[in-house]
Amino acid sequence: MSLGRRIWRERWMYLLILPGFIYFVIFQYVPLYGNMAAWQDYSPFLGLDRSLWVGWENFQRIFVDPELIRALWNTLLLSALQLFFAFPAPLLLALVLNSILSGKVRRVIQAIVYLPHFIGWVIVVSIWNEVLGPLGVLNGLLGIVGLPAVDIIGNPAAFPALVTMQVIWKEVGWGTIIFLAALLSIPNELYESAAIDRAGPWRRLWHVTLPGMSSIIVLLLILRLGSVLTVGFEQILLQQPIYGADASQTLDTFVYFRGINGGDWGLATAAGLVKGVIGSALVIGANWLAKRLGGDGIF
Amino acid sequence: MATRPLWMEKPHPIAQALKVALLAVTVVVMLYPFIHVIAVSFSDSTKYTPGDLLLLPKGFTTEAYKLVLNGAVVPRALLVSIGVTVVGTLVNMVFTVTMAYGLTQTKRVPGSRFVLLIVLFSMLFSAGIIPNYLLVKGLGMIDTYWSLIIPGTISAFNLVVIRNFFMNIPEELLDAARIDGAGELQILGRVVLPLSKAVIAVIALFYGVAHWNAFFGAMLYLNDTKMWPVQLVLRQYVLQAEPLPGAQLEPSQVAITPHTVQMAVLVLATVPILVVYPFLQRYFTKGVLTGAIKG
Amino acid sequence: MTTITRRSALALGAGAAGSLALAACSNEGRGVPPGQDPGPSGGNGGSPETLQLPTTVPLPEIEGVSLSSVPGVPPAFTSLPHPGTPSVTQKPGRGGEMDTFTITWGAPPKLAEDGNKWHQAINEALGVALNPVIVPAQTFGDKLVTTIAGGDIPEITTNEPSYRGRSARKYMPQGVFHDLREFLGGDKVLKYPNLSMIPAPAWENSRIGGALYGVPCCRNETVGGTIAYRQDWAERGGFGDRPANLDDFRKWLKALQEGGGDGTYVTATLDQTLSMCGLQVHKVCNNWTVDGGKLVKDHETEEYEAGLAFARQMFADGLVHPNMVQLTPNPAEYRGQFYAGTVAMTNQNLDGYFGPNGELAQLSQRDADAKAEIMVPPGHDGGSGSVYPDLGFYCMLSIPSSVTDPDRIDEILGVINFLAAPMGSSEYFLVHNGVEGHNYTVEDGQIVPTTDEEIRRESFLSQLGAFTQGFYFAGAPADHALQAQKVAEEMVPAFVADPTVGLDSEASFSKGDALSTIVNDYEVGIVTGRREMSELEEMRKRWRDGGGDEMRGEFEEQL
Repeated sequence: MSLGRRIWRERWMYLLILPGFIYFVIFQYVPLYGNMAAWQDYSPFLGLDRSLWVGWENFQRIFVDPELIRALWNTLLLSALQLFFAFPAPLLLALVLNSILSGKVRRVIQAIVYLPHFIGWVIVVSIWNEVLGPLGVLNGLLGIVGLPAVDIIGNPAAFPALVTMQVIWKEVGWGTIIFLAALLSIPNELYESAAIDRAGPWRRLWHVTLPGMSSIIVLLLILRLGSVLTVGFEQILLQQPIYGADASQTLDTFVYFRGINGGDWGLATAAGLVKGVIGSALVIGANWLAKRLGGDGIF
Repeated sequence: MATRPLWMEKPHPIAQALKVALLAVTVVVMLYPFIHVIAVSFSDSTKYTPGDLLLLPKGFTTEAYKLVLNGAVVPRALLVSIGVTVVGTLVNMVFTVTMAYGLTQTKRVPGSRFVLLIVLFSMLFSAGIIPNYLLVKGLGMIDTYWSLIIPGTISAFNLVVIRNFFMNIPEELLDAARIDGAGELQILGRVVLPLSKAVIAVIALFYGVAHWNAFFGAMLYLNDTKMWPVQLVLRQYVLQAEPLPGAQLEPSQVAITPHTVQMAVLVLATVPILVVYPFLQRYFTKGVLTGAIKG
Repeated sequence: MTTITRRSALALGAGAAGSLALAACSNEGRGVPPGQDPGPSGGNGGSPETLQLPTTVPLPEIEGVSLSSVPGVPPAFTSLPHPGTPSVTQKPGRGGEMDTFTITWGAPPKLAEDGNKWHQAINEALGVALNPVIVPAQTFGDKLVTTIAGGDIPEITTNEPSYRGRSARKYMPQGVFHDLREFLGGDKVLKYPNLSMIPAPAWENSRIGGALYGVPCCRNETVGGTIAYRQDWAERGGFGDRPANLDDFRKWLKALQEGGGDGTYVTATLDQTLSMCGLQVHKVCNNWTVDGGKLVKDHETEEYEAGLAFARQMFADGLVHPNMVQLTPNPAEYRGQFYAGTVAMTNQNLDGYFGPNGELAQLSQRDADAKAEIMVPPGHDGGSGSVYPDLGFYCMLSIPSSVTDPDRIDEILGVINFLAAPMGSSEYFLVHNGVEGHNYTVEDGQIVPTTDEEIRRESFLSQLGAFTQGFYFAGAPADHALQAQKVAEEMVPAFVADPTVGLDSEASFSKGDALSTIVNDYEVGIVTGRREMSELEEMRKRWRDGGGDEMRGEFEEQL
């Protein structure tokens, strides 16, 4: 069939795609011209046409700054922890919730676990500080049982674990929602026939549930890899004075201080581009790997 | 009472006990901050020390709520947020669902894989606020509510999630409809959407909550403070005393709003969106697909 | 002004902007005598010799004023003559509208079209309708930058180039806003009488590359550097007198805790512990000090080391609230600890202690028997500890260069002149208190602001009407102004100037934040005992390598 005829045959599909395509071009791609600032000593007053061109200087500055290398390391550490712990947490909770037989109980618990998503970081951080602080609930309880107090708040060594736990606490219930929807799309018949084949609960999990959810898990994982250099900005910025920059300076906070507050927009833009390139490489690589492993990938 | 399907064995009592304990702890830990926030909002501001954790209000009073609700700001901002959230979510869903379905047949529809890549990579690069502002300004949307809706018409993330669910619908079902002479629009409306109630509800929730929580666009695009949505107003109450580090505390700051009032605003700004979820849960149902396969 | 450390901004009330001063600083680095110097020619390109800073004329003496015998201390007003004398003879406006752009911290105010009588009265008095864009403080920088990029810059735009909006220092010299020396320099300012009363330090400190890109909204230089403490605790603990030197100070701190009883502490934050009890007492210099033509950073001095060690010892002795690190960034929480009677000290801007909502009023609202006093920390070797003067302004009001018509510029400056009306003038009441009988009433010669929340929301000028000189607390007992002035009389003689004020350093504004974060890190670590004193050397090295030396060099070139 000729290309022209194929296109004409799919005219309704194109009609469905077109409005969204126009949206993406105008609102997501046209403004990208602003990234030219990465090669400029950009000033919002002079704009892109009058700001001074500086070549690759902004990029060079990123890669020679010792503080930035530290920030990069922190970012990768926090990101890895979140990938390993915060990413699977909602999946596990979804599986547990799904195993509750009473629909009423399940719905009530669902509605409760998603509450923390709606509390701003300012309040979350303040509550955690009170609970885990030197005079907090946790150390009070430890004191009652005669155990020594733990030093968490303000301890840089505790920061990576703490940030990860905060993320899990705040977002696990919210993240569950998407997995619950995926669980619902697995037909009951598959479980029945597996049970008839004498598959126990673990084997049903392994052979029915996980394969049924694999495509959404792979999708979310690949997308998460794309933002591997982004970790919760507001959460970290709010806690930075408590734990210190050595433990908590990330790429985004560094760019915020140096680039946005300091008026170095060229550097900030360059950092954004570097993040985008690394994210793209990871997405492409992960997608290739997913296909190699027999999956569909995401594109 | 729930019934156990015939094929499911009785769980081990220890496993069962562990599960109950785990869920109980989770529920307490997740619920507590809300109790704290509500307790503070009903406390007497001269008795409560900011930072102290509460289970019950200190010196019960509804003063904070009276203060907030007597003024015109918060009620008005709530109406604005409800309006933007409803209209915005409708716009989001129409364009996201149609485009997502349009991109399900990348092998069949020439060029659609390219469009999918465009969507995916839009997630990885961002333009920064200045070009976005200039675009919105150029389109004449400054000081209109459209500035809060149109620039976020489709979230690439939500689009690929919906598309993923659409792709998991068995092709035989769609082919059956095609053989019956249905066009793509009819297949989307009569076959795909009814089978995707759960994910549609989820994505609508994602969009709705994002609209409800958004404040940055309003700050950037709305000069008229009367148009401010509730989250922007809320931030003014909650953050005024606690600037982000790196920002400075201003000496000329007016008297700090008591914590009790901040929490009352927080409760008023959060409850409306929380109410939505239980309604959406009714779409979290199973079985339609099951029946369809059998048929 | 340049480096702003977060700690000191909190501690010293942003005003002192950074900086800790040293006894060793002597007067070598002290700023130029007011009103004599046309501005440094260093910085970004310098400026034509012909352009001068505006001259300053003294404030008129008015009824009810209490002038201090200490030079440099602002006047106090036990009452203001109401309705006051007009300071503006004819309406500055010529009809039409005028766009303005300013910061807000509170809930959004309502405006004239919604029946805001205050706004309506201002428009009427100005002869031009102000059309305010009001921007949340949190995101002010973003909004200002996009507005500038968009090209339609309001005719009166608030800038805060010394604080959050430091990025403005990059584009201001590129010509976004008029260099006002052209319109106000020398005696030209006399055309706008209220602007001619702006004190010389405010003009000097608001220079960027020598130029004046806005009218500084002046305020007293006495802002940060004092502590409020529980005198009743000190008495109960057996040390009711003011501590006079380091030995006394140690005993006094212990007495405060003993007097407070179990579960009480002396300080709640890093600023109170390190900046006030440590560095100010040890007379550390203000940000930088000049030593034989070379600049030495505050944390490179011996005084700093002694102050840091002192703060560390305080923490080890249990004088500091164990939650210090988490209380420090939360003013509402550490102040709450003071009101609740768990800590003996708090700190605020001088004005913030007084008035109907000041720290002292908040404390007695919670505990009617509590007795608090305010003091400048003592010097380790006697006298006062060092105090760091404020820049003398917080925001500046700028006129975009896109306004080219000289008549329009004159009209805008006339409006700013109106907004800058001094205490005692009739315009002052309209700008600061609103409409009599609606926003406030006069009882026994005192201004009593309304308590109606909805009417309070009419306060819309925010930083546009932030010009103050002197002490006056509407709605508070008359003696509050005198008390504040008395503290100021302790502060002014203890002022230590920052030798880099008015100088520009590219590295300072681009890397300043990141560097002060490093310093803050080490300070927290050393004070709490997580780090050793010896790690100070490492901090200094990281600071130097990360841009500190670069900054030093840029400043030294301009000295």
